[in-house]
Amino acid sequence: MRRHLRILDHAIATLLQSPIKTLVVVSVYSLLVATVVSLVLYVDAHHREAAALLRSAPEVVVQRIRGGRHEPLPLDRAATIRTIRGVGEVTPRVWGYSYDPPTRATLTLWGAESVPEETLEIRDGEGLSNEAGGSCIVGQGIADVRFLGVGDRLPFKCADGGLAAPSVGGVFTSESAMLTNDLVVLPTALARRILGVEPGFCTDMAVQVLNPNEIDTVVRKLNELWPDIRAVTRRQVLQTYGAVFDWRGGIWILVISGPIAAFSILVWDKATGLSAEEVQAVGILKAIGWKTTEVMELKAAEGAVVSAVSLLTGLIAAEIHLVAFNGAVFAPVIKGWSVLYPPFDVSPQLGAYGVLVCIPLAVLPYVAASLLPAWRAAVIDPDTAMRS
Amino acid sequence: MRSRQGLLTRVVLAFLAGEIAIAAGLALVGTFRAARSQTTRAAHRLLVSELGLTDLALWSDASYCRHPSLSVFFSAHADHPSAMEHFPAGAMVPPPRIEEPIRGSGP
Repeated sequence: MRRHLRILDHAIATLLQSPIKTLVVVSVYSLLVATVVSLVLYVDAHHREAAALLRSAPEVVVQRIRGGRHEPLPLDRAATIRTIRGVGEVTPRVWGYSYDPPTRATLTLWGAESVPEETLEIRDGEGLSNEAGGSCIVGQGIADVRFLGVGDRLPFKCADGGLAAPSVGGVFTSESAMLTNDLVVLPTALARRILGVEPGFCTDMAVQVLNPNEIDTVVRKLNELWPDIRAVTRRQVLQTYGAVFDWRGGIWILVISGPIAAFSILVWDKATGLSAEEVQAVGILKAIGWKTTEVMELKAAEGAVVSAVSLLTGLIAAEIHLVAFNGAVFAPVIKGWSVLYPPFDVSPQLGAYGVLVCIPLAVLPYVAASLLPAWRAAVIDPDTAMRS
Repeated sequence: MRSRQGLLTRVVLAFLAGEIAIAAGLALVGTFRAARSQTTRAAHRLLVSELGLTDLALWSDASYCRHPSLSVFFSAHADHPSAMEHFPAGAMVPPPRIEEPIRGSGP
């Protein structure tokens, strides 16, 4: 044990003989680890947030597609869908979009008869109602850009050219902005009028499938019943968001591939050969009685010290970036942007996943790169090494 | 010289131990924050299931950005044939994944 500690002593002293070089390597290495770990954890946190929220989305959404465009779905199909074995509730949905010229934002209009009380910031309004021109629940984003409070009116141009101006009966909480920021929930009858969805039709249907293992069978039966429908399963919804955040993370990987390549060149340079001074030093160590294994242990210790310090410094920098600054560097690309953008923060967590991702990246290549040239120098004759 | 080197090793090991402690502390803070958000998440899940929401209100520029999971693959080109993608948020939405189709699935 004492022998190993002395070799470690010597390794640290060797590193400190060229402090600038060591500092540069540790700094670049730490920055690289911090960038990669930040990105991996930040994208992972978005995956988890989307998956956690959309886990209770409908098992299947049935749409009608004609000529590549969505068409209203006849309501009478709901009764037929209910007869499929394994199908629970079938809920026709009325929803669509409305462009809001003053804010240049596109709002999502959603027909419903009630919303959960827990998700409302302001509960003293009348909620959803068809009385006196109707009332609606709006997301925090709309309330902010339109300066809306409970009782204010939000005008819409209806499909028939008329005007609807429901009063605001409540505002969603800012915590739910990731789901509700641009959402206007209206009584279904009013939503029909504004969006021009005829009676007897709906935008699409949410289909509950009682046994998750039967979702694919239900989808197959739906497609056999009507050739013009498209069924979107919850699994596909979750895969879409997985792909979106992976895609956005990939853009960052592309950006940081330059520094990764530069660092790879540094490691390759180290792997392809030792400097004349380093070969001489190895020769001297061999001449004074060090064995090849001890020289190798010395070089491995040098690599391990640099890797361990860089790995931990990089992890700390990544966590500070994520916890204190909410991933500010990556946020614009990973979270995206739009006119009405919800303020939301995800909670990245450093766990075994993050550490396991960066160990192969940070520790193994550098230690290997330290060992290969040391082995080549250690196996040659000490006299030749000192004269080189 | 040997005692100085021994001191250096102790300093480096102490530095590494300190870094491990700070990293673990920050990891705990992250875990605590994630656990705290669980309480509001239950209400949000209720909202998703009651309204039947399928998408996040992140990118509202176009229908295929606002509801990427419900859009058909060629929505971005629905405005006119061979239309260029013109929303920055849309440019960040990837092309569809090619996966094994569900037998008999529609368009």
